[in-house]
Amino acid sequence: MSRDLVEDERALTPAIGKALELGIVVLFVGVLTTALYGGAVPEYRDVVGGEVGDRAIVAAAERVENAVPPRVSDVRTVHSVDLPRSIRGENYGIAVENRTLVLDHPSPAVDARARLALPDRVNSVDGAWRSSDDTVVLVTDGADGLHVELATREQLGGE
Amino acid sequence: MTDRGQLSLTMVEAGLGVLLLFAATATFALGLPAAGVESAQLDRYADDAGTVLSREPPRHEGLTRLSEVTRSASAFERERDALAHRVERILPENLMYRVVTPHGAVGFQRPTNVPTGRATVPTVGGRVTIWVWYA
Amino acid sequence: MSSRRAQANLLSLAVALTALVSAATLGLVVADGALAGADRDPGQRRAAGAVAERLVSAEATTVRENVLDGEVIADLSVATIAELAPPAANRSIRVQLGEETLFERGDPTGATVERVVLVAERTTRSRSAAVGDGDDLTLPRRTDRVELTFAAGSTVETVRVNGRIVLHDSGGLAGQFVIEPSRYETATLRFEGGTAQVGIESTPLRTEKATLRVTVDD
Repeated sequence: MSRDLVEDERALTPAIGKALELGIVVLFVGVLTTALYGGAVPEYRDVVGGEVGDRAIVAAAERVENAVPPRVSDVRTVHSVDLPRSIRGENYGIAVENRTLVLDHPSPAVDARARLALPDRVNSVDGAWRSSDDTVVLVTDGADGLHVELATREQLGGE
Repeated sequence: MTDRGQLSLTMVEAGLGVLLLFAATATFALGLPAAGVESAQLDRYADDAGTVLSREPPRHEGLTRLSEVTRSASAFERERDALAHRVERILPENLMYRVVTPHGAVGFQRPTNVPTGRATVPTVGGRVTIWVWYA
Repeated sequence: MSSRRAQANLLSLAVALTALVSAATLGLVVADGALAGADRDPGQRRAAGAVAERLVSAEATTVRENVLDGEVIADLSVATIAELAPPAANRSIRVQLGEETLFERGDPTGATVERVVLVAERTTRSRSAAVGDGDDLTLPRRTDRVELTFAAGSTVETVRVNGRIVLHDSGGLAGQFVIEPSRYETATLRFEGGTAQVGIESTPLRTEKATLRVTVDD
């Protein structure tokens, strides 16, 4: 027995209803993603990058300080230093400014500094690192004291 | 027609979505352990104890207290109590220790589930390892 | 067939979306809290560790490694701390040795680093002895500094410490001399060449164990 299509009182047909639901859900996901990636996520990445930068520069400073040997003469030591290869997705550099290690990152929120506490017999500290290099600390004996240099293994000829 | 409970599928989906979000939140809400700080301090204690012991004058013969203890097995047996006593005096009261020398060990049993600090001192008779942990 | 189901679907969708939005907001709030709690401020801990390490191993404050010089430590000043440990230069800092506070600037409540040290006070032992040619004199306590005063009329020519010649004057030693025996051996002085009245002043160290505690804040 065929049934006639009976008119009823539903507002929408099921197909349109489902399509509407789908549309609303997609819109919702889009709005939420835009809101998060526009506001919250970059801020979180900045804060986390700042934390990682702080810890990286402190670890590097401690490594440099520990690389200075106790009272001996005529030294030449090379210590390797482990730096995180990238922070917040980008490479960065560490330089020395007035006996302070300075982390230089493209994003200003990640910049950090750490003053070095070196004994008096260390005469000078210089050099610079890029995070993508195989970084080492070189301590040599100079005429008026120890000389600490931030170098890479290639510069030292693969020592 | 019997009345069947109408479980709205959308509510089930939404409930699963909320549960997923709570799970993601819980992973960073529970926080990170700070055990790294403790073991760094314990390592410093062990290192200091090793430095102090390695520069101390011995009780009978040898250059330093540690070199006296590691000279021979008989010297170790003779000196082990004095060594234990001295290590206890050097370390702060809330620490337990174990000193391992090539001829034997003094101190307490090392537990496996607490953070421990460790330092090694090379001497003429071998390496001496000092372990410390919070009591 | 309920005639109200299509609208009920949309309504439940709205409720579901609201629940998701509030769950997401809650997640953001918790994330903010977790981030603030994870800030361990490594600079503070490092400054405390650097100050402690420098105090314990610098030449200015120690007799040897991990042995603090009692007199120098008793009057630590701002200038000494700033010179020894630049990381602590602009921070509030407290240095304690045992129960005593050696130095305090501000009221720090941040990271604390403890080191086990010995505090050394120099004691002076002097005696006077008449020595003849070939006499041995053993100093009971190990010391790395001995001051010998030869009285007028002494004819000793050579002084040896543990077999090693430290003073020699073929015309006879006269006056005051400082010799530095090894810290690792008990010093036996041997006088050769004549007789003398010798005043011996040795300064052995008396050490006492203590815990150095450094607290640093921003």
